[in-house]
Amino acid sequence: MGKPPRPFRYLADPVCISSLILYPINRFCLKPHHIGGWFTHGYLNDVLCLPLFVPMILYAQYVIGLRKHAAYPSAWEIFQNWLAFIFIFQVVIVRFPKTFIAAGDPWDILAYAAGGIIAGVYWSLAARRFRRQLIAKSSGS
Amino acid sequence: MYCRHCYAKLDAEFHHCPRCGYGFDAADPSSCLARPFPDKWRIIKYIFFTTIISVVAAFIVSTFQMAGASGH
Repeated sequence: MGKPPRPFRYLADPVCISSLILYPINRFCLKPHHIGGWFTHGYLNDVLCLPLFVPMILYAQYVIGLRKHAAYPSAWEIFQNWLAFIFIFQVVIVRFPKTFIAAGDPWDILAYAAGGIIAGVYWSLAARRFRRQLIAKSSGS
Repeated sequence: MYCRHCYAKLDAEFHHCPRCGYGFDAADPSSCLARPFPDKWRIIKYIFFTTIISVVAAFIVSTFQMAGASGH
């Protein structure tokens, strides 16, 4: 049956790499120069949160053997990480204002969700493309 | 017939899982599963450990933010 193909490339996934590039652009260019207004200042980092960290978290799961495949992230995996980030940033951190610098803005929840949905739509389209290629390959062989 | 690795439904006509791409042999029952889910404890264990990893990762991100480096 041979070596299985790896549809999802984890840290080398285009969504993860794009987020990794966008993050410092926002941090060192857009925010200091007040480009993009309230969105880049308050929410772009939150939108990038899931597209950036879901591949990293899934890679950690893959390395330790909890995730046994390299399929694109499922809706459940994105949702689970969304809940984890809400729990830490909106429930845990706001209780320790002396230790953590966090505003506890409820709109952040929407920003995390927006990032997760955008990444999820891309991953689902990529998964569909992979499935089509696989079917074409199987039909050809 | 379901994938041993990602539990996606398999089509006997093709030789690879449509979701994760792992190969299987429809004639070999050991290469696939008869039902789409692992046992209950494995599901619980999976949800527990993956949630722990997600929460720890989110906590690491928040610690990074605490250092004032992210401008979150």
